[in-house]
Amino acid sequence: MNSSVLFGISSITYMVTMAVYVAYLIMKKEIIGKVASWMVIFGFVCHTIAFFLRWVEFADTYKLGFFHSIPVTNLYESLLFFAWCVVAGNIWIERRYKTKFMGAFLTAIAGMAVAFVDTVGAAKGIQPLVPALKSNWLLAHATMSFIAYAAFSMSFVAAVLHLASLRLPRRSGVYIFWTVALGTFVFVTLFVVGDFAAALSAKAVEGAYKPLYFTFKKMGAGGFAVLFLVYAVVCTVFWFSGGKLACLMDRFSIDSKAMEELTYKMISVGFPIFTVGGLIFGAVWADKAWGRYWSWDPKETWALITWLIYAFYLHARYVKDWTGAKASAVAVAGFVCTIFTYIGVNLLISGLHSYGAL
Amino acid sequence: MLKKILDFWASVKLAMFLFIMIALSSSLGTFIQQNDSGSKAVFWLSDKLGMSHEQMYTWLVKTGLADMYSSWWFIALLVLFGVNLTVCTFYRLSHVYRQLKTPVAINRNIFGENSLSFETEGDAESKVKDFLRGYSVVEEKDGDTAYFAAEKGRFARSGVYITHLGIMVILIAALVGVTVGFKGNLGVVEGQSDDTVIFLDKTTKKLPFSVRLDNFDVKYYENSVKPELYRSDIAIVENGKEISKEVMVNSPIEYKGYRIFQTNHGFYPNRDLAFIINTGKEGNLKKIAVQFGQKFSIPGTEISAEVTDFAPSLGQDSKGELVNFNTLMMNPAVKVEAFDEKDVSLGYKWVFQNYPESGQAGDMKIEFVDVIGAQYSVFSVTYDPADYLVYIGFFILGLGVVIAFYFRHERIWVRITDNGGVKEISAAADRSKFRSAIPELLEKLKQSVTKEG
Repeated sequence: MNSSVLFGISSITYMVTMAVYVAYLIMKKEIIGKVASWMVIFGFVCHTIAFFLRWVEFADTYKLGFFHSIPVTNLYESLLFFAWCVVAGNIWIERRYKTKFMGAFLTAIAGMAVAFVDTVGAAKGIQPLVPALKSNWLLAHATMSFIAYAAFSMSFVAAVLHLASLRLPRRSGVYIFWTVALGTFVFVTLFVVGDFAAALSAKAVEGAYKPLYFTFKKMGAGGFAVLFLVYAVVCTVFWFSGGKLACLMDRFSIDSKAMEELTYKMISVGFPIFTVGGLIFGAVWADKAWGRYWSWDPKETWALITWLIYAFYLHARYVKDWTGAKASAVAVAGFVCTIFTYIGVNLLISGLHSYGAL
Repeated sequence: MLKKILDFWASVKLAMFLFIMIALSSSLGTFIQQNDSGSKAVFWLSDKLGMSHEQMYTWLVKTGLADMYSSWWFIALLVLFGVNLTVCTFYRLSHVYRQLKTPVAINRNIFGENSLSFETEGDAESKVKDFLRGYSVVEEKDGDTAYFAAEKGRFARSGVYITHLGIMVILIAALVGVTVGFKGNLGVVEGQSDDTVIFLDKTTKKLPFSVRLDNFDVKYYENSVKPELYRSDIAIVENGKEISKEVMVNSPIEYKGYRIFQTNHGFYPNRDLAFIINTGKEGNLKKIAVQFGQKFSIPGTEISAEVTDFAPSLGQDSKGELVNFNTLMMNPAVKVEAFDEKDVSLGYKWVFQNYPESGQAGDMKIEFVDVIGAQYSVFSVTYDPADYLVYIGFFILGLGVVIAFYFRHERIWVRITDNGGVKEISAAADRSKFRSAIPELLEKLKQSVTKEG
């Protein structure tokens, strides 16, 4: 069996599972929750097999050393690996906290990652490695970075749920911040998907598709105004109905305190991996390949910014005992930086670290 | 007064402030492309602010934004951060030292609100000891009451400080690297040598040795324009002595503290190419080096030949005609014209480096082995005497975060009172983080002690 077929199956499974989880949240029927849990496991197993198949295919095709061929070397593979980590985290949380509540959100993130891959049409074929990527540090650096990103995205979900559960007034700055951040997140994903669909229908996609390029090129001043308006509407909807999330959490008796703990825990898991794998191994690799362990490349800089925000969170939480809205708001900000480091830098700014380019 | 100043410099508040300041300011440099007067950001800003392009860039240079990671205010932020970290760490060192040196002790007064009490009839003491396997335990007896104190992972308290120490070492090493070390480019054409490193700001520096490029090779993946490997064969020449080395991407060489990296390469069009050719009768080839227009005889025959043209990437276009596609050296070929003993042309033939059989004519053969002088290679030359210190810092930092986040100091106190067969047990616990899980831990202890059998 081909790895792409299996990847396809697991991608579809995640998206369908998200719908099943949502159905579970709405109807609160135990059986639906069970179905969702089993589907996630099914998708996860397919994904795992696909991952290793691809690894072997990669090693076979280019006759590279086995550890040089771990499939995390371009955006397509890395997003899939990221989704895999998130789903693994979802399975762990379900077992550890005996709740299926997070499932809808985590499969949504995994699904979005996979959908993003499909729509931006990131080159899917197995591509040969350029010389700079042939390094043992690559395995450690890339793999650990994505595991850390996955942990941070789980902390994001937990932080959002914690913030929702606090039932802050609509006028509070923190409330506005998290609803707008969530709105932006959803808007950008929809925008990229929409842009792709538009470009596809206009037959503008030839070979490589450049995200957002199509829309931006076509758009006049009026177009931007409309786009901004849509963005404002999405954010307003999130701002207006953010409180509903708290009611939903009550129905499933999700404890506010537990979500706060989970945020802290996930950041505590991700931070050391990010420090060692993302920053240190990245620096070692840069030193081996380019002769400078730190060169203020945009990707490096944004990784450092992400690291600083989470360092801020950890100091606030551990030393200053921030456990309220402020701490979770910082966790949300940390995830916004994470996403920017991961995808934003590749899309908007180019630098040495262009291997993740589309 | 001194205490106040120290308190300020050791404060976590200052650290948190600096985190945000460094994060915000360093993000600026990612949007304004550094050291580039022609970047999009400059155009955009000059347009929005109604300034001329030149004014804008001068302003960016003046504020340090054009090269902000080496601007005084950014370095100042990093130095503040370093001082804050150092003061904070040393300030608390004695406290941590005491924590690390003090083993857990029996505490008779700890059992109160937050402790868990229950009763059991079995052999509570041995079950408690069973549960505390893996902890270091002290016990004390006082009549009918037994006290236990247990702990594990005391060393985890050091994690935070090891982490901070690692960052300090890295900052110091970086400071040394920035002030004493350098990184520049050195470009050499095949067959030539050079010893002058050029920096981004166009200044130069002479190396104590020179680098001669003997050969540069680029290998492509089959049927692809994706390079698989770049390799430069170089010789380092110092005081008449030569050392031959091979430089590849990800595999730099080191010489007397200088490191040489493969960074770039290119095609250098010129007439002084040297073609390495194997020629002669089948099975008896001789290796020679020739230049454009230089006649050579084919050993064992009366025939002579010369190289009249060279194409770095020869291929066929859609009409089947030979055409050179690019200068990437993907399919190098030489056009060889042959002459008989009376110097009458016998015609020409394209001989491909990648296809040795292309140079076959009867039992005569011409193999195109390589061309020297057609390519140049660009190396990065770096010098950083504090390089090893950075690695030490990385190691300490890595060790620190692993200890700080994946281990924790856990302490458990248990009191068992024998009340005529029924044992009253109280247990309390503390851990260095995730305190909210303490009740869960005590509950586990209760489960394992009250379990039958």
